[in-house]
Amino acid sequence: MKRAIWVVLFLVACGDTGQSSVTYPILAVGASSSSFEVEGWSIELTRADVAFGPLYFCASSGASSELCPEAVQEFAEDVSIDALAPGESRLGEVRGTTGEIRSARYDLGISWSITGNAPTASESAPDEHSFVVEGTATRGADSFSFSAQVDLPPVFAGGHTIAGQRTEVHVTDSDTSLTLSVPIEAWIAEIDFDELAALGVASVEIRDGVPALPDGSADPRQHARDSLAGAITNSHRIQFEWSTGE
Amino acid sequence: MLSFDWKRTLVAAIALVSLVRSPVLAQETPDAGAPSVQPPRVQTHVSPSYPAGAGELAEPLVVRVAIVIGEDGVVRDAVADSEAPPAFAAEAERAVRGWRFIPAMQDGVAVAAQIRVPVTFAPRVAPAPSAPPRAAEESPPAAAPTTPAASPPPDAEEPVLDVTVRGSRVQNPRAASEVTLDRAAITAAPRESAANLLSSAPGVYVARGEGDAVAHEIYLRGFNAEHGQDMELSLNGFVPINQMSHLHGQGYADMNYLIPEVIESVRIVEGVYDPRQGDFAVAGSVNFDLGVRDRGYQLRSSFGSFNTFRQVLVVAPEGEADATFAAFQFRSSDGFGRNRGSLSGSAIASYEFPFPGRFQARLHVVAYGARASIAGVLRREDIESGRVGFYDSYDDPSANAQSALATRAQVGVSIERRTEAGARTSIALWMALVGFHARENFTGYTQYSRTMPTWAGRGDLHEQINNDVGFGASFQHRTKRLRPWAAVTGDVSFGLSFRTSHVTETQNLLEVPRNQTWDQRVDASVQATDVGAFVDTDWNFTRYVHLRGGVRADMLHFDVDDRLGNFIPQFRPESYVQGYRRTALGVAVGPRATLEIVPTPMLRVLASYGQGFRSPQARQLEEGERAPFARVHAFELGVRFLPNEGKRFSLTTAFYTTALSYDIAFDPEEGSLTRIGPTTRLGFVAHAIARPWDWLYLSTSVTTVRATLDAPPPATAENPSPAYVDGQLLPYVPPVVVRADGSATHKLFGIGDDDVIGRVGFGFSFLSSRPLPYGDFGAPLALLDATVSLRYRFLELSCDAFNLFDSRYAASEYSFVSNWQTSTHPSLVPARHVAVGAPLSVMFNLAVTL
Repeated sequence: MKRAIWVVLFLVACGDTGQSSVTYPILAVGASSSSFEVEGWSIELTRADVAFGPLYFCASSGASSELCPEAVQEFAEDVSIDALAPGESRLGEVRGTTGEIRSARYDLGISWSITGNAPTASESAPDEHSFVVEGTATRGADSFSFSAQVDLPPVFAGGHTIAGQRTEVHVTDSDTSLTLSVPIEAWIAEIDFDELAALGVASVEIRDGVPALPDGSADPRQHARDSLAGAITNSHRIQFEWSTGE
Repeated sequence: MLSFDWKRTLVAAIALVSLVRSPVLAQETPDAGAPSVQPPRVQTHVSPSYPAGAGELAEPLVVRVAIVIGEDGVVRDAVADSEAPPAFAAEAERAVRGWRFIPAMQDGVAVAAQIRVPVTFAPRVAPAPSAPPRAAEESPPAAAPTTPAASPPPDAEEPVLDVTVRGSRVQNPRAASEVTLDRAAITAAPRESAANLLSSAPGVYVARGEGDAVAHEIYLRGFNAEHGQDMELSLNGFVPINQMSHLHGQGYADMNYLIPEVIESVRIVEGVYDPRQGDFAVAGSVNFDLGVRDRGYQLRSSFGSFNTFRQVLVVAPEGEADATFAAFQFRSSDGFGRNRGSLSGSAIASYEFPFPGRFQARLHVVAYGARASIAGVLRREDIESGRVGFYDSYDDPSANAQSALATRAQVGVSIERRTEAGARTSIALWMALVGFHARENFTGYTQYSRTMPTWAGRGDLHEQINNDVGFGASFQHRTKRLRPWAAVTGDVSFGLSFRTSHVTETQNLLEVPRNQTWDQRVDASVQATDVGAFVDTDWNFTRYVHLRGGVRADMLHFDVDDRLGNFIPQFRPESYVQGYRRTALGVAVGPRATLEIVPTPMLRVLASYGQGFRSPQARQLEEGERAPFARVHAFELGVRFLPNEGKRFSLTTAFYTTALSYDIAFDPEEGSLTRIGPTTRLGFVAHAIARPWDWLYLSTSVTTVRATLDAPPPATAENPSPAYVDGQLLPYVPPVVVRADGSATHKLFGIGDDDVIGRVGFGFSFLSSRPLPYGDFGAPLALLDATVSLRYRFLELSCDAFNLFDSRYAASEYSFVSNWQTSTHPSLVPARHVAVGAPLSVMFNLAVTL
């Protein structure tokens, strides 16, 4: 009798219910070396911290808040990535359901809650910025130190700094891992060090809000900041790579 | 002061003997396939008096009285033989109208009957010395007995002249699994509301996830009927409870206005096999029949957990029909957790009365109002992490602003005429004003304003207002019993029904605390009309083969004034006036048939097939659309084992399958229903009822189902990651439902001349793990309700316990995205949400019945 009951239960209840849950690790890999060349300048980085998260993966190609009210998978946390750390560093876990992913949206340490009046930096954001970098640029006898603090907030409440970043993958189970590639060298390479060197100072602070020069052109520090922001949000975004097995 | 009148008693005794000893025969010649009939039997009687002013009789006078006895055993009509002297005829009619009968039974079902009884008046004689004194008010003298019972007068042996059993053919089952819950089943377990009665039917689970003023959610045999979308619910057979095009859910059916104490029976057809089943009869149909069999005046006060107070008054005058009563119910409660308080009141009055000429009329009126706070749903992970208590609501102003208000005013009247030959004609009219005003927030803070796109994060508190003014009528005629060939008997029924509703719908997003509107989602008026017609036949081909069935057609038309249609976004210049008015009309035709094979009197095999439909949500229709009905194909093959006509035991088993052309599911983002594509169900049901002794009632059922989604909507730009995929188990539907009810009523001891009657009863429900969207499964559920009572004369003290195991369970589960700001960053992955069920609740009841 018991066996019959179990058979009946099996027959009626077995079967899938559509997607299934998945959980897999998210890792980050930064610069292959803290020293590299940019347009003849030898760059030696002493600090490169990137604020990251939250991250949402969407089934639609354009992962805006309108087109992606539901995420397939997510990393709903914020972390600080030490982009100079050797090898991979584990950030946490992605969770969600199996399915096709076509785009991603995420913040870089500064989020704007749907109920908030203004963007706010996460606690994990380095010095409350999206990206902080410090280093030295040397070319022959010329040398100067530089630092940058870049803030990259969303532009409206409930939105994200990066929206609709294309990425194609079909996650079928939890035997997967996701690696974020933070292209620090590419970001730094967007800085015009010749322009900064022309300032003739030993230490350059790259930041936002520097007034324009008398001739109306951008201050090199502002220009460098904008170049970094453009690289991070457009030309050299953080890349996602899934691999089978952790 | 009570007295004993031996003369009256003897007169009545003679009549009783006449009844009991009479070879009662069915008026219609019993054919080979006719079901078994048990004639009515006298239960209580009123003795006739000797008519004042009437002359002395020289010899006994027999007045033959034809009486019509209802299914409830009440005499509906009494007509004396026209040859009798008027004074004696009138007195005989008066007396017989006060008699109560155990109704005629056919296949274990109470049916109406007509019989003729002789009432004998004898010459007055002096009372015997031993006779008790006659009460003063009994003057004039009562009719004297003709002779001692041992030597009755010639007419005393005259049998009841004829018995006509009526209405029995309507009761013929349309499917093996069809069930009628009588008072024994209804009263076995304690009931918190009328909707909970449905739980005693096989495969039904009823949940209340949105507070005391919102309709229950119903699950039946693989259907998630939500608030009634797949269940046709009606009252007294002709007043629909479902509402067309309701904003909160198509087919919305609020049963909260029904008072359990005045529900006499509930007929549940699981599937669609009867041509009388109309709109929304997709999973099946339910009819509540109101009536009070235990006549008198009952005042019932209840008080219990969570400061819950309930007061019921039922007035059911003696001598009137069961359907004549007035009932009032008031209930207030703090609720079992935060923001769950409620207040409600309901009044139902019903009057049934005969007209000359075999007419019978029934009038009922209903008034109902309820307002309840709603705690809303909770993310399961927030409960597990302790961020919110299981019975709490979110500590958020928008969450605690949830509430619902429901109102109903309804009147219905039906007139029926039954001929001696068995034909029956009826017409019924009803009108209802139903209001619904709810504020619910399922998703927290996720919505953006359509009107002003920069407005966001003000709380997803959806205000839904649905006001419905509806009226309708129905006409039915059933022919007398026909006999086209010697071995074939049957009848044909015709029916027409009409209903129309004017519905105004409004849905807004509100920002608390001042309920400021920050977005408009719906502003529409709908005129929805349903005109239906059916033909039904019921034929017996010998005693072994019965065929029932016919066809039903419904024409529905909709006129929609969608004032927010053709929405003009803020960024687009206005080039037209916003709004979208459209009309649509469609016809749904469906055959229904039942073949019943009766190889032996105790075994019946039924095969049933039918096509039914559900009307569409009007606002989803396009201009000129042929009203795309959801169509259902239902098939059932079952066996009924009814030893001794099922009086002591019955067992029903059945396999069934249903296919629905498109199903709809709850969309929490809008708090309404959306299409999810065609679905199929395949299952098995077993139901046993045992009444081994008169004092014991037991019922148990097991229902299994495999419900799958066949072709869900593909991904779209608006919904790129739909929750459903081909072949997946239908979410929210429990694959296995087990139900058991039982009660035992017995004399415990005596006090003086009266007994103390004890009673215990229980109701147990088990639901297996329910599949949820996105690969989740809900937890299985086991609930036990129990009652114990003591009754002594007119007093009854009882205690009802609900959820005796004190299980922490989800009345309803969902999976969707919400943002209640309980984490730094909101999750956008659909998560499990629960509307929790009530914990252990105890109610103490004191009832006084006079």
